[in-house]
Amino acid sequence: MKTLLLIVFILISCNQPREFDIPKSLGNEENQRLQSLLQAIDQNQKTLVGVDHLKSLFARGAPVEITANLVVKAYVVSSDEGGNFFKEIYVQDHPSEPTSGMKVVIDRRELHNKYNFGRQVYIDLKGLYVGETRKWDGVIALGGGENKDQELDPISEKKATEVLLRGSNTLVTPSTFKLSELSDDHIGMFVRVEQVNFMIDDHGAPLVDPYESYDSQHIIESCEGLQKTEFLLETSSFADFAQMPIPTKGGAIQGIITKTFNGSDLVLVLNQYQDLMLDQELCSLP
Amino acid sequence: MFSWTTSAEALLGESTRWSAGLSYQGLKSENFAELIDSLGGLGLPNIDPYDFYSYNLDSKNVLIKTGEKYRYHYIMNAARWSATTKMDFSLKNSEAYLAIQYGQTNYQRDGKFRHEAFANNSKGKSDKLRFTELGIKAGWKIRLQGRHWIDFNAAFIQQPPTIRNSFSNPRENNNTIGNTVGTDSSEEQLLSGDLSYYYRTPTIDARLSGFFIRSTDATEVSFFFADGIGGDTSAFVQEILRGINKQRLGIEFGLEMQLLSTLKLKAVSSVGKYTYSNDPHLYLTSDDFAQGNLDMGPSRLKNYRLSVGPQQAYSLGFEYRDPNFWWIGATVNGFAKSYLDISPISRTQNFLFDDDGLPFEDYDEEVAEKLLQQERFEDFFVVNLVGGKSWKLGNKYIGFFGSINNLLGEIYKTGGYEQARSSNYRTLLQDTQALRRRFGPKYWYGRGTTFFFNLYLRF
Repeated sequence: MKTLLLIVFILISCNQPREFDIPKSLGNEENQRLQSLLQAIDQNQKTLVGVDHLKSLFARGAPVEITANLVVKAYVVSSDEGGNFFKEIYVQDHPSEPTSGMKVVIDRRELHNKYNFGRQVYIDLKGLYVGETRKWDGVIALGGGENKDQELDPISEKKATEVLLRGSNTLVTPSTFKLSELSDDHIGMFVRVEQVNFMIDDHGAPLVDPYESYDSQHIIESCEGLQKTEFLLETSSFADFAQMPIPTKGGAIQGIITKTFNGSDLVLVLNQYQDLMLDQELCSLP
Repeated sequence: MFSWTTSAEALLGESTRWSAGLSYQGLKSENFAELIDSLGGLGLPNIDPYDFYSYNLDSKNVLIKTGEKYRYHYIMNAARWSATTKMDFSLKNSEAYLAIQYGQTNYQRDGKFRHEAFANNSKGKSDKLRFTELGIKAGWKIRLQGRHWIDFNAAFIQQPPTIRNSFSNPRENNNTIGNTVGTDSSEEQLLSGDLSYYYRTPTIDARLSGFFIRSTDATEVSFFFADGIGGDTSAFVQEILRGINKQRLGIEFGLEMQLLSTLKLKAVSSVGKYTYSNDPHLYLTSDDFAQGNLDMGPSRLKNYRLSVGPQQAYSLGFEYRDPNFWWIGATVNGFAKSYLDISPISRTQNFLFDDDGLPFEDYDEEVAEKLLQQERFEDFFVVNLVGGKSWKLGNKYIGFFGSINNLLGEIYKTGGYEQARSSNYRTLLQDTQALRRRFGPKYWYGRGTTFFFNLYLRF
């Protein structure tokens, strides 16, 4: 009888938990809508243009509807995962060494779940609008319509599904600039600035003033030659890292170039707190 | 329903017995919904309130009155005949049998309503489905020496699918599974075998068995409302799962010992592993899909457990019979490894597809693994008591017996299923992250303590 019982217990111990497979990406999934769009381009039914061409359609004053069969290819360089962007993405024309960037406004939250950092996108432009989301703010943007104040309305979520088509993921590398080199030409691009630091008075303070409702700007500075150059870093009060301290050291920062809400100044905006890579000496003039 | 059976038996020599049977069953079932109360209204338009399809185009603008048929109306005709033959052999120190069964089954739907979404394919008769039934069983029981026996049985059975698993959506149309996905439901095949060893003495009765059952090529049809088909589509769908293979392996042990003339000890255990053994193919149909049906590819079910109750059970008990005509018995039963029935749709590639056919950017395999982990119910114990007494009054007996099941009032799950509604990663994640799940699993529970009492007079 003992041997019989032994057999029973061996079988129990052989029962290992979990051996099931979960659905996994095979890496060969295709975006059918994108395939037909690419086919339309091949057959000359639609024309592929660059971001710079798209921006050239902009006219000051009121949004312009795109009536031609144009398609633009671009790469997403912003991310709302950290909460520092809201219902908008910034795109540029190449994953590295870009020549042109712009803003795209979409009426959808958590855009990083679809239009993530580094994602190649094709935008079927016919019927969309080029304009400013706030009049005279100087940031050329792509949207889905025009409101009564002649400002740009976002592309609806459903429309985005049809016209803002995802391609593959790519590796985006920022180009490095001096603070003094940054201009309106760099709006919408993901850039890197080196040997910069925050002002000593701000060190240790939170990135966003706790009493601030929207955005806070802080000056970053770098030593270029015999003088210091200043630039603004803007952070939304809705960012996850809004209450993180301003680092006390110097180093590199990467982010998106855009403008303040009213368009008065150029600003650098972070995707994530980790893009403040400040672990070196502060800059000091000779 | 009509049923007819006949059988014959003959002895062929001293050790061989032959028997045969023939049976026929006919079924005609009428299925419909009926308006039992119009709640003071004039009647009910016979229209789907969600997508506004007319349930019956032939009487499109007629209001349904109390007592009239509504929504769906069809007749299902089924017929089955089978012939069986069996040979029993008694040899010296062994017995054997061989049985063979052959039969035919057919199903046909006869629609009475012309559904707007399937105007050419809902009224009248469907294709006639024919299935062949085949069964071969054989067994051999050998007396090794004195008290030791060995019993071996094997079977191959091919059986037709049920009516439910042969039509994709009988309430709305005449589509057979084949009309929908290309190939019709096929017969399910079962291959089984068991080997038992018996040991019997006047005081010990013991048995040890091992068994396996492999079933292949089954079809299952189910209906549900799904969120997250092709990324963001929601639809009422019919799910057709084709080519399901299952495997059941187990070992059972039973022992009865007469310790004293009044006291008997009983011990039983059953340890099994019942699993899906392949990744069957999944299709969806819906009147909401422009193309009629969607091929969702394989559903990764392999190695998930079947939801068929506890896969391990143990029981230990005694029975005491007093010479003064009363008796009492008690058993302690332990059950383990019961599993929740899983939803096949969330195990297809659709689980990770966004609305453009590319994977969800936020698809996290670790999270997915947790979401798709099959729930195992808690193991549980049930204690049962049984007893009785009898008196002799002249030449009559009067007595009673009673039982208490689940004496300790243990609360336990006996079964349940995952709701298929949240069918992709994003909808399922959203549902599980809510404070209270809206589409969580549904469970069945065992009974609490139950009492049974029986009084009898025997004469």
